[in-house]
Amino acid sequence: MTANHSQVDLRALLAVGVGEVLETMFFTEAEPVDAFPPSQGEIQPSIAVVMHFRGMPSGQFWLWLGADTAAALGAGFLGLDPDEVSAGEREEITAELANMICGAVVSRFESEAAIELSAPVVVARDIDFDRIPMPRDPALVQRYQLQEGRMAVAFDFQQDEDR
Amino acid sequence: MTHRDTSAGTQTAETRDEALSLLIVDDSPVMRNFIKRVLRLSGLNIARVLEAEDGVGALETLSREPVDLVLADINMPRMNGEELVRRMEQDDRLKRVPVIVVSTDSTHHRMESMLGHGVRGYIQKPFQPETLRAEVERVLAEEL
Repeated sequence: MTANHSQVDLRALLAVGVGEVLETMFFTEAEPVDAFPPSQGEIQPSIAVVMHFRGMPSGQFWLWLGADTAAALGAGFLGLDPDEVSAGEREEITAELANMICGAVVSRFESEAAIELSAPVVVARDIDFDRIPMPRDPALVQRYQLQEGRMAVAFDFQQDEDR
Repeated sequence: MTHRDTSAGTQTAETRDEALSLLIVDDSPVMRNFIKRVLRLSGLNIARVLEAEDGVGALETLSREPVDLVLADINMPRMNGEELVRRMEQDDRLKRVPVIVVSTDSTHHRMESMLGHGVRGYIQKPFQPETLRAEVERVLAEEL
């Protein structure tokens, strides 16, 4: 993401990347939402994953997925019932989903440039979706409502002088 | 299938007599399982699917097990996919083993680099199961 790119570009690229990954690999769709409905005291356990990308630009990509959402997506992906998806597999599904969405978006920033993607790392688990850790000053945060539950993503770019 | 039978030009990966031995190299266990499931459901004549979580594990497996095809990710710990294909290219025993890259990295830079190292196919994640099957078929048909 250079100075010539805008947040509109990023949001458009993200929409394409998220749609492509969810529809192709998980056979579902995501609807962008401004906010999630209040949980009314009901805890919504979620998994948070962060990964780094280096190139033009460099930065971090965050993805949060409800634990039940991860189980439902994992069931379709692995050919299991949701109850059969282990806690470890929920985290692996969240990590792989982050890897594919981040790769799909970042590859489109500058398709001629070289990029490096780090392995996604789980930074929070079993934390309420309303209390998930956030990057300090993200370039973009987008929440999605899936048929299977909740998902949110964020991009956080390094300034050029930080590289 | 350790011998290349040049008389079998009309065979496909699905109909060939000798069952295939494949190696999946990816640091994500769920992605390895997904690829394995797609291959098992594809109708290809597969004897066994081996797995490795990175390039180091792949070279260890390849040193003791003959395989017909390697499906490898790029971004992996310890040894990435680019280094793996470079090592295979330098090894007389492995340089003829076809490799298909399965990666989220779809930049022109990466694709050209990998194809320059003898990679036979490049599948971008996300992918349709049929895309994987067709690419495996295409690459194996070139080997017959």
